[in-house]
Amino acid sequence: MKLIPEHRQPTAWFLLAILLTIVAFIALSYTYKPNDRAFPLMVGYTAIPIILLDFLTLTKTKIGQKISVFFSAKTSEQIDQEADTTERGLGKELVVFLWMGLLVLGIYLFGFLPITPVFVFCWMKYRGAYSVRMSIYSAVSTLAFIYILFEVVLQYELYAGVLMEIFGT
Amino acid sequence: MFDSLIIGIDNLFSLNSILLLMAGSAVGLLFGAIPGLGGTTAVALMIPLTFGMEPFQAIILMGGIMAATSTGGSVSAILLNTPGIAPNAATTFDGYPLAKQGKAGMAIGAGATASALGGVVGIISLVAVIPIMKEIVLLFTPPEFFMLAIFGLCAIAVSSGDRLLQGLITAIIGLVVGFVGLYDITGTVRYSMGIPLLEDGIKLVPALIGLFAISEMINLAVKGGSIAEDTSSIAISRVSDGIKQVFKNWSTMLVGSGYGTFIGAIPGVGGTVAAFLSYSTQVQRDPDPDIEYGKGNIKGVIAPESANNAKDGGSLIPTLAFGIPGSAETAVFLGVLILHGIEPGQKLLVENEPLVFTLVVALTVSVVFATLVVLALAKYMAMLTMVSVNVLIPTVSVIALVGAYALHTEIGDVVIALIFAIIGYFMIRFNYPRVTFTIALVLGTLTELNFDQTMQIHDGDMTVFLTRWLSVTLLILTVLSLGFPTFRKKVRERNRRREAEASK
Repeated sequence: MKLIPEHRQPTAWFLLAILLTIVAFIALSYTYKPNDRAFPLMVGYTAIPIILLDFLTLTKTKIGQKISVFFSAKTSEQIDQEADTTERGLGKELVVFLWMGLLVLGIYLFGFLPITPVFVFCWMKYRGAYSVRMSIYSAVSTLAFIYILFEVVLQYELYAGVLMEIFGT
Repeated sequence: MFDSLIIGIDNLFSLNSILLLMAGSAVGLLFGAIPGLGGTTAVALMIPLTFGMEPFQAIILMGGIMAATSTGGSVSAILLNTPGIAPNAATTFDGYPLAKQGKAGMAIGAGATASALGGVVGIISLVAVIPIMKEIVLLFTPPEFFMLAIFGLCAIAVSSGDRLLQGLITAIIGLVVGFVGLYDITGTVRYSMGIPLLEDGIKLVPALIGLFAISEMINLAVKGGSIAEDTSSIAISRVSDGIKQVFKNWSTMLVGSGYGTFIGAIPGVGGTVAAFLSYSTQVQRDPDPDIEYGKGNIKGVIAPESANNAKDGGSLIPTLAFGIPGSAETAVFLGVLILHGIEPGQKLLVENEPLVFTLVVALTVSVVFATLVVLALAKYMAMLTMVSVNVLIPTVSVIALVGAYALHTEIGDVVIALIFAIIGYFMIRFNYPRVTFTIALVLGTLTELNFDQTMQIHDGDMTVFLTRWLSVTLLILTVLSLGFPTFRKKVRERNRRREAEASK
């Protein structure tokens, strides 16, 4: 990792995760019969050199620069300059993932209709710093939209939550 | 063909269909105008609404969205210097300076009219090549289809700007994800890791909704801030001047439309390249302009806008003929076709021709409808971009998750949508193109099926790909496409040298 400039290290970790996934995929492929694994293995083995080449383009080495220029007609520095430089931060990302995770967990436990207004209200009130009144308006409108469109017009029976399945009638 | 066209018109001109078309166009305009959303998100988000529809109704709804998106995007590009979608970026060069000079109405009038006419040129081109496509598609057998899929993936990866390696990597990941589940040829369940939900494979709808709709919301949430600046000072007048300017500069519009159609037909290259190429060609064609380009020349609005709408017709050529999507938007649209049991290619062109013409008519009418809406409501559309991300994120996320659930009424699909949303977010974050991932996911089964059929027909002889002329041609095109970035670099260097010599 020393060869990779600090600002490119998150990308390197991402790439490493992809590489490990591909290695696991190749290993798993060998548990299937030859007919079932022929094409997946072809794809898996093709991925490894491409990932390694991409990994090299992240380094400060001469070979990395040459590969970068060959495949993208630009050096890594030029690509860095044009990249989106928005400061994201792992903490911010984890918080947003947590919100989305809680939304899915809420849907699983309580179903779509109860969790929709709760999620919209909480997001607007606590992340958007909107007034209680505005947050309630948005929450109720979203609930009404989902209910009318999916339950009334399209006649889907929306998931009512695992708790309803356990305790409901 | 004429009969199919009549059926297409008949399909469209009923109250239900017209309402669907208007709804699709309105959604397309809305998602096009709000930066960060775009047509692919709109198409993905609207998939669940098509579940109970007849195929032609689904096609009308999706056609409405696809045709209207870039028209919507031009409004925010001109008024706010913020392109609604990437293909509108070139419109900002002259559109925004015009708006600052108080000529926003003229720019919007010209942009919307050029979009409509460009769109119609693209659609006419699509209609013109349908009979030829029917003949060409008959030449394709499994080896050719396999090579075509590989060529399509490589061409799309190459077109991901400066991200060829990243494009190839995400294409491979898309193929890997596509392997999960039951393999039809042998009846084996692969890579499901014992999870029953995965035994039928990763379902396309929740995956696409996660990848495009929810991941965009996560991205907006992490980046924070508002989408657009204050729109209170926007004044819109002299729209009719803009319309007149398009007819006065008809050659600019026609050249732009030609670029859009041609480039749109190349898988993955898409509207952004078409719009920029059309703009730069216009600048080169007009060495001595009345008003300098970049400072409010109306032709600088007409050229990119006609190109980015004409590409819709063009990009449907490979999508409908071979099932090779021309863009992320058409990849998701291909998912809709598959969902409704419509198989692109020979079957669609020969047996379901009326559906193709329904799409053609829907695209034509909605591009005109979208233009009329833009001309009438541009100012209000600009205000839409003022919607705070903190209103947009929770509402769009919840609606997207309901959509992911609705098709199979499986709560596991909601989890799949979330997982793909996180994968999609990391792709945005680390600049890995989602388009190649999506296209590979859609094409994965087709690619493997054709590979296996080839091996079965030819007793596992891999040289078959090198002994058939069409297959070899596609292989050569694949290799050439991979060398394209180097070629582009050489051309850039040569141009730079020439410019340097000329300035001495």
